[in-house]
Amino acid sequence: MRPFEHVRCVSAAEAVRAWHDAGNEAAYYAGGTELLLLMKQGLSRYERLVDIKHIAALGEIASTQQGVVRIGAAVTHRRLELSPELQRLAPLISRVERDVANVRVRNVGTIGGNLCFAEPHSDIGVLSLLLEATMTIQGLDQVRRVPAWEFFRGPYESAVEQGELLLHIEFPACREGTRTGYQRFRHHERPSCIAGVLLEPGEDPGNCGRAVVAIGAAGYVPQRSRSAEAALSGRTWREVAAGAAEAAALTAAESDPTEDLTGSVEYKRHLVEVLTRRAVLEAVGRMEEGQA
Amino acid sequence: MHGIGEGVPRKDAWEKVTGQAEYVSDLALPGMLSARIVRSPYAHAWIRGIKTDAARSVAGVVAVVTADDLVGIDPFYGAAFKDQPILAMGRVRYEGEPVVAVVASDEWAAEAGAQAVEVDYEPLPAVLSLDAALAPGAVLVHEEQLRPAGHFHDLSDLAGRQGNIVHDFHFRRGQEPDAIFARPGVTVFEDTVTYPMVHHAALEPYACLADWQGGELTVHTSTQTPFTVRQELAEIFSLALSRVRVVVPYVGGAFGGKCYTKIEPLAVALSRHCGAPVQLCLSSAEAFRTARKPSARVRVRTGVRSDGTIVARHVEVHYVLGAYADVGPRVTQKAGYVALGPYRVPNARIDAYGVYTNTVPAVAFRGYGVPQLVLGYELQTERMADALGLDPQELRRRNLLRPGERYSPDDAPVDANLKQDLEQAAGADWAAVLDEPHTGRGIAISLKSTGAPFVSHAVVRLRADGSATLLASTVEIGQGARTVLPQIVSTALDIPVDQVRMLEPDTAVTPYDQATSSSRSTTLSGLACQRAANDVKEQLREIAGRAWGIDPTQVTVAAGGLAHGERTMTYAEAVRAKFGMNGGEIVGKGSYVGEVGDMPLKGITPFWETGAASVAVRVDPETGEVTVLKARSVADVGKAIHPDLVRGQDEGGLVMGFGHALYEEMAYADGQLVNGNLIDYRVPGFGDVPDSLETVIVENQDGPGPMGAKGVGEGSTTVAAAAIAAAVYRATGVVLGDLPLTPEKIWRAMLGVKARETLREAVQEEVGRIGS
Repeated sequence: MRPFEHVRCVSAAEAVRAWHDAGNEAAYYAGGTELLLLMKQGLSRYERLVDIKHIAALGEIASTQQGVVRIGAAVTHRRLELSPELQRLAPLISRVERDVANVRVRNVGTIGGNLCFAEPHSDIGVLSLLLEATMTIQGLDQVRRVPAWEFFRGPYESAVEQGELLLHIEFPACREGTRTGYQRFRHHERPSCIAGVLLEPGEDPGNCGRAVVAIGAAGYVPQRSRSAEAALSGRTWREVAAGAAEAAALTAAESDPTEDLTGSVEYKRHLVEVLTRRAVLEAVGRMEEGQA
Repeated sequence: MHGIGEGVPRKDAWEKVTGQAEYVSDLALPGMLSARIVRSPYAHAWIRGIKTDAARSVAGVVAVVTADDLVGIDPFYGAAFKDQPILAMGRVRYEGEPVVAVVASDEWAAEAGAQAVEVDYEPLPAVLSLDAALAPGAVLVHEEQLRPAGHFHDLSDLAGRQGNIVHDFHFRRGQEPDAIFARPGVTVFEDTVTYPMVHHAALEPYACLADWQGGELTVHTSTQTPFTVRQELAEIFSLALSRVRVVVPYVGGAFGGKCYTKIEPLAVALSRHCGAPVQLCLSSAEAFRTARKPSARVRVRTGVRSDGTIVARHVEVHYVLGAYADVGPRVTQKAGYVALGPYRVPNARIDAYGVYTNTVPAVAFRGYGVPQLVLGYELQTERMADALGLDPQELRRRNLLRPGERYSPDDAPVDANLKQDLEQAAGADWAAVLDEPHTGRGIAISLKSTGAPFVSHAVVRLRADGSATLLASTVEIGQGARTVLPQIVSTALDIPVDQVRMLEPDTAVTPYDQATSSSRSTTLSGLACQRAANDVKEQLREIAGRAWGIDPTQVTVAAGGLAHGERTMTYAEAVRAKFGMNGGEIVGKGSYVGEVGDMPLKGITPFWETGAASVAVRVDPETGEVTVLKARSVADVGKAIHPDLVRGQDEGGLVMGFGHALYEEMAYADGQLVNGNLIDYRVPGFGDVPDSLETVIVENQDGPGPMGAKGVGEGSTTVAAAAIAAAVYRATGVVLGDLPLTPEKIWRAMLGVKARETLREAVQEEVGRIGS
């Protein structure tokens, strides 16, 4: 790898300034699991890496009294996996993180780096849609908030503009009785299809009040299936289970898979359908077993 | 003390685990320069011009070298034919072929220089597939007269190419199979399978450090064949063999990919051009563009009686060798020869071809062309058994060669108990797993010639204090040679194994050894080491005999000393007795030289390597994804000198084959390799290893090596993919021999079966309706 300058910052404002001082020749650096590979392969060249790992606020996991969970951008996958607080507030994250890449990657890779890289096969991307997260982004002179469904613009392209720094992501804590299903097809180390389902109980705990269905990895960006969500919301749990196949078909129809070495469009659409159906049934099953 | 049959700690383990082990890329010489290669972006093109001015002006760049600069040398190399230019000359034949090399003070400057080189290409039509290469009027990858390299006795009748076929090999026995196929009572089965292009993916990519000092050349390189590299460098640069020194430090994985000359001629040419040591270390993406395994299409036709007796077999195999022949012609004939499998086939015909295409050159790969064939004949065995209503194991047993039986009349008798191997492989009780739906068990068994003449020499120097130094040129490629060969010497001399030190291969110091390949080192290099130690022992006996005034044969050797009756003498005392001082040493020599003769491969196989494995898989009926649940492999090694290393070799070879069966394929689009890196190309990881992975070691002491040992390391690779394909067949009913068995391929094949079943049901319903 070519030599580069390493600048360690202790505040977000300092980091953003350090980036701009290098005049487009810099990159923010947290875990480096993607960035350093690109630089090693010569696909990216930066004169300066702005190290954000030591900015205290970016390393925090916190929750507010209003029931909002906030995760700093520099929190590693490993902490997402093991944090007792997250296991309580968003158990799905910890469950999914256990199988993200491998432990060496999880030890250094961060949630912010994953989101900003916008790799199409990211689990975090699907999770952020499922949890209806909001991202907070700092620029040179403003801080703005972007909802997850506007965050992913294309493969390797997020709403974070040149020089902006992702500070944290926020989402509502898991409501009691919420049940989740998460299925991924991982023939390759990076999954080639992901389907996640989140079912919240309604006023009547015998009903599914609200459903979120999100898929990823099959296409360029993670996406929600509004038609499947509509089909599952307001139904009894028995109806949800019985309607799993139909919801899966709706999701598959709404999906926008892309052909690559892991499969054709037709096959990936089929995977979306199989995995969505399994995820719905998994969620209902977890409810029956009383798990979160 | 010697750890025979128990194992001793690996000599290299501590160094490797703590990062102290040195590889070529860790070495540095004073004034050393670094090099980077500019590679062709086209599969086939004319080079119209190269602009090097901008690259030359990059800070730190010392030289920008093209084929025009390779003056005063023979700029071609190759193990079979000298068909590969050190740098492309006027024409490129595959994407990734080296065109220009930039030498600079450090690798970053070389990289910047490489990016500044401009090459003007005129793209040409390319042949990328086997069919395209064989088509009438196909573009020829090579038009020139091919020059045989003359390195191998068994390739002495290389004829050169016909069209894109660079070499063919034929074997006949009995009557023409076609005549037998037509006989009454004979059922004929035909299967065609394809094995993909796969890469060795050694963790250490190719690396070479060349130091040209006038008429003296020293090369540090990551190779399995220091002596072949020395030979080729001497020929290219017109040097005496004694002037070329090839030194091999630790090698970070090889798998056949580091057999014969690869990047060494370029590194030497650059050092010669610049008058300074030059280090050339490739990235793993470049390694993908340097060598791969021969992909293949295998067509097997077998005639069998209703009782399962094979009466005739015709195998036609095409190995796709890529843009340069490397050792592909030898793979073609050595593997082609054993295409009949471990079976008795009275009437046989084998036609094997090696074919040029505009892809990465294919080279040796663990299994040496045999896994491709086993996939064909063993998948067929399973299908044949079903069609005949026989148990596949019964069908195999009926046809397996017996111990002592001959595969071919002039060759060595089979020195393995194949029936025992099969029983061991099939013997695992996996009923609990196989009772689950969508599961299946597959079995495969194979036979591989390790043949062709081979030469190994070894020297043991017994020091004045009774410790020993072993000089042998087997390369430590991770297999454990630096542990096992000292074990053999320590056993022969009956001294503790830590009293034997083995040096790294250095052609100026350690004696000749043909190759670290073909699972041969423990057996054949091991024999040379054992004989060298025995030579030392004989000399010690003579010393004691003379000192005690008795016949040397009356002197016994035990517990690291000499004895006769009450009299004893340590080795150190014997050396002192001989030289009359505390100095001097006893030098013992040992050799193994293979037998040459007029048989299909021009030499008798020293031993037969067998493979036998059983795997259980589950196939997701909706997605087609295969999970390997259980695996059991049989290592029929004669004698396991170091059982843990035997298991390591056997398990590694098996899982490597799983990769070829399920995940790996070098994917080309428009002549470009699109997944030539370790991110997009999927090799098996620990997550892919089944929960139960077992090696059964069979020890009948029936090998020619020390203590009855035979080689290990390739057998399991030869059967892995075939066993997986057979298991998928059992789990799904789908016969799929087009590797890799990706989930989508299996899904589509299952859809096809389902569609046919649905159609059949519909037709039956229709028939029923009409009938009523």
